[in-house]
Amino acid sequence: MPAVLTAYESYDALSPTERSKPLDHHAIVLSGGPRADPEVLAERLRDVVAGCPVVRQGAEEPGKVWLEQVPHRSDDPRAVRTLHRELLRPVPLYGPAPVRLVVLRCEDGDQLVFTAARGCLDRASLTSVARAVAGGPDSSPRRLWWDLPVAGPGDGEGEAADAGADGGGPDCRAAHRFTVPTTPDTPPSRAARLAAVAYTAMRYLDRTDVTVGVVRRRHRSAAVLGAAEEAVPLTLTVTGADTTGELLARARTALDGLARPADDRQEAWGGQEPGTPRITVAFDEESPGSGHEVSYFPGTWPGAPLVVHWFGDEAVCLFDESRHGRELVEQYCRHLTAVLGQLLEQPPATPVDRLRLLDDDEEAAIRELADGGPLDAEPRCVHRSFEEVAAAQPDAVAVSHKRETLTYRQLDARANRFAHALRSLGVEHGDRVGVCMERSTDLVVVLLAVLKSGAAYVPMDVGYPVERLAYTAKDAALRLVIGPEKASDPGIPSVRTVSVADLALRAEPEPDIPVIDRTDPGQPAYVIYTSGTTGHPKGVVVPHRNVTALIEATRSDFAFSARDVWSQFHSVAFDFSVWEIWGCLLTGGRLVLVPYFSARSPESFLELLVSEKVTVLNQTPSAFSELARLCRPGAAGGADTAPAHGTVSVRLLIFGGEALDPRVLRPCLDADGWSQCRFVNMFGITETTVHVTAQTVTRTEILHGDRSVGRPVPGWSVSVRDSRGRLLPQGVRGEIHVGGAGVALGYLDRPELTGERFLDDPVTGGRTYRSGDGGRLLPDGRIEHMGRLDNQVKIRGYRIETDEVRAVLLEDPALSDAVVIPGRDQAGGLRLDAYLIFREDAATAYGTAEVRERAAKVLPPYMLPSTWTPLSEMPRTINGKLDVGELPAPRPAMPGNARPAEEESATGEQSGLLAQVCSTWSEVFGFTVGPDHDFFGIGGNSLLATRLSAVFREKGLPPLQTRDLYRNPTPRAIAAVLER
Amino acid sequence: MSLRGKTIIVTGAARGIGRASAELLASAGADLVLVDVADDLPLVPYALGTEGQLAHTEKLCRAHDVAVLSCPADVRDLRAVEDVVATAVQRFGRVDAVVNNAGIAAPSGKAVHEIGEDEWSVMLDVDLFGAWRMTRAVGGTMARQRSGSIVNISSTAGLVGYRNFAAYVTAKHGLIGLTRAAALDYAPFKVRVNAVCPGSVRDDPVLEGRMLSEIAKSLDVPVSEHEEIFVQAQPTNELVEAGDVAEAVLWLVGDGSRGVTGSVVTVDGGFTAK
Ligand SMILES: NC(=O)c1ccc[n+]([C@@H]2O[C@H](COP(=O)([O-])OP(=O)(O)OC[C@H]3O[C@@H](n4cnc5c(N)ncnc54)[C@H](O)[C@@H]3O)[C@@H](O)[C@H]2O)c1
Repeated sequence: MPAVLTAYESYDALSPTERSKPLDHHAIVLSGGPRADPEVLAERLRDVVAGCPVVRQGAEEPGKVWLEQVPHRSDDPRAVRTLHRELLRPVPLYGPAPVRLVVLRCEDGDQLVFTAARGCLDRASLTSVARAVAGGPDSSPRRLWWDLPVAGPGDGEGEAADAGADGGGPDCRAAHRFTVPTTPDTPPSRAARLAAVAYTAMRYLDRTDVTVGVVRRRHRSAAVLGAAEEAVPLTLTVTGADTTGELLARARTALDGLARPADDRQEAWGGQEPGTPRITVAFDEESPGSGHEVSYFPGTWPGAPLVVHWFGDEAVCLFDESRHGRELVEQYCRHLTAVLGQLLEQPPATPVDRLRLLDDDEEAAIRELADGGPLDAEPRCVHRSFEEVAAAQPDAVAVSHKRETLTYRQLDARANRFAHALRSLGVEHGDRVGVCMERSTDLVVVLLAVLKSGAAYVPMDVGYPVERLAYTAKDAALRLVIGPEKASDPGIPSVRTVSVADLALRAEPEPDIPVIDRTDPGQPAYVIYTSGTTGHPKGVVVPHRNVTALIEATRSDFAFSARDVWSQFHSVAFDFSVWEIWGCLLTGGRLVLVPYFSARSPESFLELLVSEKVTVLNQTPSAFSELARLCRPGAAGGADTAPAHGTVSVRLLIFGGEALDPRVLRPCLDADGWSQCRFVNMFGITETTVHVTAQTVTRTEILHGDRSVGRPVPGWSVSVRDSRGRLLPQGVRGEIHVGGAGVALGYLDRPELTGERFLDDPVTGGRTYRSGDGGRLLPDGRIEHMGRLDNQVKIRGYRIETDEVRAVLLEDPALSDAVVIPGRDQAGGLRLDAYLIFREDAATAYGTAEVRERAAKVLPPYMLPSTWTPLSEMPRTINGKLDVGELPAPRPAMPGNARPAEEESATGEQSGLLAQVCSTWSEVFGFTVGPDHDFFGIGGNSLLATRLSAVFREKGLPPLQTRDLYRNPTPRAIAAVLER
Repeated sequence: MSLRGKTIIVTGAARGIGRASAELLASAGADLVLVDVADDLPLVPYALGTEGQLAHTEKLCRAHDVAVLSCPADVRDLRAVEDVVATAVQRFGRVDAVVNNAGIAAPSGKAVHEIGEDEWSVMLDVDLFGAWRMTRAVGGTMARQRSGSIVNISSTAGLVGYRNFAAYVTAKHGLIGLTRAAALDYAPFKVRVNAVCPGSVRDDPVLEGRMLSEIAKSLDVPVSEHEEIFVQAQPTNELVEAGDVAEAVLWLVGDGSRGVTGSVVTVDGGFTAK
């Protein structure tokens, strides 16, 4: 589905020739007049054209009139289709004649179709040609091309769209017509119409300014035939504080500016700052008039993929269907109509914020669309649910770690004793207890015991630095911390630490019956710290009922049962473990704790999956891609890469924790053991209790790289909103907000931050969480995830999505993984850095330079990363996510066949001036530049060129002219020039 | 596959395979430029298409509510062929496909050493040079458009020899050569060139086709029995219909054959498979 409006921005990537398609034409239709004599028409046409110097150029046969017999009445659908085809038929810009006159001879009279390229004749000129040829002044009412008889409802539009869509050729024009509301005495002013178009676009794009082109005639003299129309860019800025009156006034002022003579106006269309949306608005006021009924077909404008053409209170939106989906254009028109209506009705003091794109019905429909539906389950406490499972299957194995196992009965009894022990240590109902333990069956016992004691657990990774642990202990005001086990450990300052051995000792004499607790399902079960992008880590407080809701929401779809074996792979400090542990224990499965070292070696983890017959596996895409490398068809059990192992029994593989590009799963499609496995991608956030949506990833999604994360699970709901929290229309990109059963209680002791991120939803009365993730709602209610909003970078005016760049890199068959992150050159200028992992079987001659070359064919230059660094593996955080801080210093692209020695000399020590040139370049770029690196190939631009020459000056090097760089783009060539 | 919005030039459109193709293309929604000499040619011993036949093809096409332009022109005349293309561009703004179908089957019936130079010349002039002239006239337009499809109607005589048909066989073999060479010339511009090789096509009275009976005459086969005699050589035990050839043309002009260029599609009921 092509995006509306957002796609405008990439329009700048088109070459000038692509922008000015000669197909941009327009037409005038005269109908209802007397039967025309083609001879007479031809003669008049010759006269008109002969009188016009501009037009006569190359006009070999200007008087040609094409007579087309149409054996139907003009209102017959077949005749209408013929007319529409005539209107959409292109005119060659440098064709033999300036105007094409086709006479459609219908049974009930002639239709005269005058068509011209916009670059040749403008509206006024075409009108005078039509008037002169048809003869006789008149002022019969003007009509639009779509007013010409149309057979069934929508038939005419459909046809117009149709002709564009399957007519082949580069012309994908389509049209959508709509009517706008009028109050009886005040037809919408030009300013109101312009304001509606611009403001609606601003809301779609979530910007406070937008630039639209407004069509006007360059000079008034209509005597000269030619192309004197142009689309002048007008920028409107609106902030939330403005009133509709101010918005209208600004539109009026902008339009008034158009009346001034052309030469002192800002540069015309095309010289704009890159990245501005391109919508063109045209107003139609003058009547062509003649002895006919006149209709005008506005066509499209060169350089504008979307044109809103107004005729009084009616408008047509012409658009390029290859760029903008029809539904989205129709929706945009509906919303701009709604905005226009409100602009006319509301008093001028109304704040623009009150303008609504969506009416109540549409808003309800959008909410409904991304609602996972009701969850049929009572709020429960985690440990109560567990006790029930344990009672039902006391002798089933609940947890195993290496050779140690606990049955459900044993686990429950031990946890009860531990809970009593915790109580005896002073833990009270509503307390928070830190858990900082190595993996062991007792880790699970302790987590359960904390809940049974009426407290919430705060997991802490033993691998974290002690300062971080101390911070957590302090921030969470922990009653005590269980762990670190070893006596040699110094313990965590400022909090009472009890080792698990001590706790076990204390627990021994305690009874194995539950402690009496009055925990309510709405009370916190755990607090997990997340680091976010800015500021200190903050504790997310999640109540019991959220966890039990998550299990109930997924139980039947994933068919969890006591036969399942779950691996517990992730650190307890990462909320994916909440899902692993409780997902398993509340559905009666066996939880296999993955020993620390197995979790870090894909080979031994694979062995564990096989030997323990794990059926439910949860992984971050990053971690799984390591595993997948061992799973190439034939590699499993193969001699060289993988150890001999049997087949995995995983039936359900759930991805979470970070965005999945399904293409990384390609190697597993037919790999041993994995082909029967169901892959599910789940989008979720700690603040919404692990998961939100689920998308089963089949071969189709994997092959196409489908970015949908699916629909919310029952009880959860999603909405896509703008930066001010307003619901966005379907298909429009914005921020994903999550509501429903998973929304956490908030951040621990951070009311302000909680208030910022957790919002009250006045409609449902519930709360929603702003995720900071970009996305849009697909027509079927699935969510397309579009990356972190903070992954959006603006480089030299272009808004770039790093994930989008990554997606292109992943299409390279030589790569198994890639990341793209924003970086900075030495002077602080933004650029993109790419890090690449080559497939093991990739040809060695294919290096980063080749990857770059391939990407350059797909990406516009501003989206092309400046550095290309190969990696053997991606650095990971403890949670298995990409660790950006651990990425090495970026490098420029290198051809694959550059042998290490060459590479060495390519970046190694140089002597004399060349060395100085190289080091100066390296300084400016922020990575080592070799003597033969191409300035533009490694991300140079005019800004950097200027900076480079400044640094040359500072260092007292020979003066470097920036234009020299264009002719001699390598340090070696520059050194040679400077030496002369 | 809809051809709506496409403009296609068909030569030799007055009757036979040309008519069948034009009508099928019109039914798929294409606007047409119909070309035929619509006159007899010296040295050709049988009647070629007529103005009345061309007008009838036009009428058949119009019934599909498409725009049709008839242009009588001789493919032996470069200026005339260029005018056809210019007219098409003027009227329709673009040319999406050309079907080079105009052709003659006689003078034939002689061994190589018996053929007169003028007889040899007229055959190549129409059957081979005609297609070249049209390609020459339209190639630039299509290359600029970065799209286009040229379909050359060759023959099984472009694939195998036929006794006493040297000039025709030479012309049709040459046409396949032209197809392959032009395909390479235009491939970078997304303009495709392909050949269709019909076998023995039944003279359908409705289409007013008569080439098979003319071939029979040249071979001294009694015209009354020629169908039975040609059928004997057909593995399918039936002659090819002009409509079958038109279907191949339809596929080749449409976007469904996007990946096909420089290729030869044989529609001969298995004749050359033997
Ligand atoms: N009919 C068959 O069995 C058969 C078999 C193989 C190939 N072909 C080829 O198919 C094509 C069409 O054959 P058909 O069977 O329809 O024949 P046909 O004789 O019925 O039609 C050919 C048309 O081409 C026109 N024409 C001839 N010379 C022309 C010229 N110089 N300029 C413009 N128009 C000219 C004729 O007027 C006629 O209308 C020919 O190229 C022929 O060689 C036919």
